[in-house]
Amino acid sequence: MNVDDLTTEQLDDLRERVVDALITMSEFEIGDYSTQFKVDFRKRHVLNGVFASMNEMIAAFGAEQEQSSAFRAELERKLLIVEKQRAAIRELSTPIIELWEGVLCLPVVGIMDTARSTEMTNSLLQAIVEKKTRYTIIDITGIEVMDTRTVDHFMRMAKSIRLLGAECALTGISPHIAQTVVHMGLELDDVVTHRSLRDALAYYVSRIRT
Amino acid sequence: MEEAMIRGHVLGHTAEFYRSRYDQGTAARIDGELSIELKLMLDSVSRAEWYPRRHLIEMLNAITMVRGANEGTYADFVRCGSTLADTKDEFAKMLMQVMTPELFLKKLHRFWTRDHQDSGAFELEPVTPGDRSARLKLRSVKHYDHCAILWMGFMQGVLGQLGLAGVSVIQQGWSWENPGPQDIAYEVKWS
Repeated sequence: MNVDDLTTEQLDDLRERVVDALITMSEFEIGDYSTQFKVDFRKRHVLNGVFASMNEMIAAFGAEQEQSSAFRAELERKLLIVEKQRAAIRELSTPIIELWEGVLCLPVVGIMDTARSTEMTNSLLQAIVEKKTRYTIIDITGIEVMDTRTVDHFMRMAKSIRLLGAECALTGISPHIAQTVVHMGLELDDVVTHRSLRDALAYYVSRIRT
Repeated sequence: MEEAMIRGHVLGHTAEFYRSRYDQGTAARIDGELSIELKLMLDSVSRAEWYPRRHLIEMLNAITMVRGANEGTYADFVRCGSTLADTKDEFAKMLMQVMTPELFLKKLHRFWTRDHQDSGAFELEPVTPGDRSARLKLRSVKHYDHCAILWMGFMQGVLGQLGLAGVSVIQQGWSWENPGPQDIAYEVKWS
């Protein structure tokens, strides 16, 4: 049938169906995948088959989107867990122990980078203020390698501690690190060093008692 | 009773409208009037999602509070509604190419239900062919502040896009003193 053969009534009906279809498609376009074309099977119409197929397509697309959203939500949930675990590890990697009244100790294990050093400095300074600490011991027995940057991190940490009116001692320097520090010409003049954590603690306890 | 909901694209459009329409200071003052819940939501609003209608009311009332209940704000609400019809979506553009004013008014309830859940309905009074005018009622929209003006703007926007001259939409029911009446009557004319 040619469009020219249609009566005005039929043309109006066709136009209305097209408008309905385009409204449905505009709903689909904004992301509503629950929208459906109106298919009236009681009336035989050339567009019924097209609309029914379009409905199937929209439904399939909607199901696909739903699956993709569920996958994205799962991914976000896992990322959140990873972030929480990372935060927990960060917290565990900066344990601050009060060895004696007025003496705090930060045992450092593993590799020091800028992020970790900032985290440690923040936690340590906060603990010093909270506990009104006079002496702080940074124990690096667990550090195997020390480069210029790591020394710089400790120097900055020590300076910040001194600004709060507390003393800072570095303990547990291994022979390998001692050689590296000398070989690289790094300066540790501003930091008090003790052979071991035990020595530093004994020293500070005696100072507290006198 | 379910909470009345509105489509995300209306919320997003309204926020984008006042942030681009007014200077930075004014937009920041409007932002300042919004609840934290709404501010957070606006950062990640999805066009197709449903959100509580009260968020749109909150935004429109915040605009009124900052800009004042005056003719300028009224004109801005009309413009906001009108630009809501000014779509970049391909199918919506095609829709405008086959749309007639009579069909648009007949289908206005679908545009309404596309954007609203559990609130109000458009009713069209019988139209005399060739009359170039129509009367409509927007029913059961009590407490939906300023929606009368927003949707008046939407009607003007769509009819304008159909290339009609002398479009006039008049509403009865809304006023600054009564921004959320139960029913709103519209009289639409074009030439």
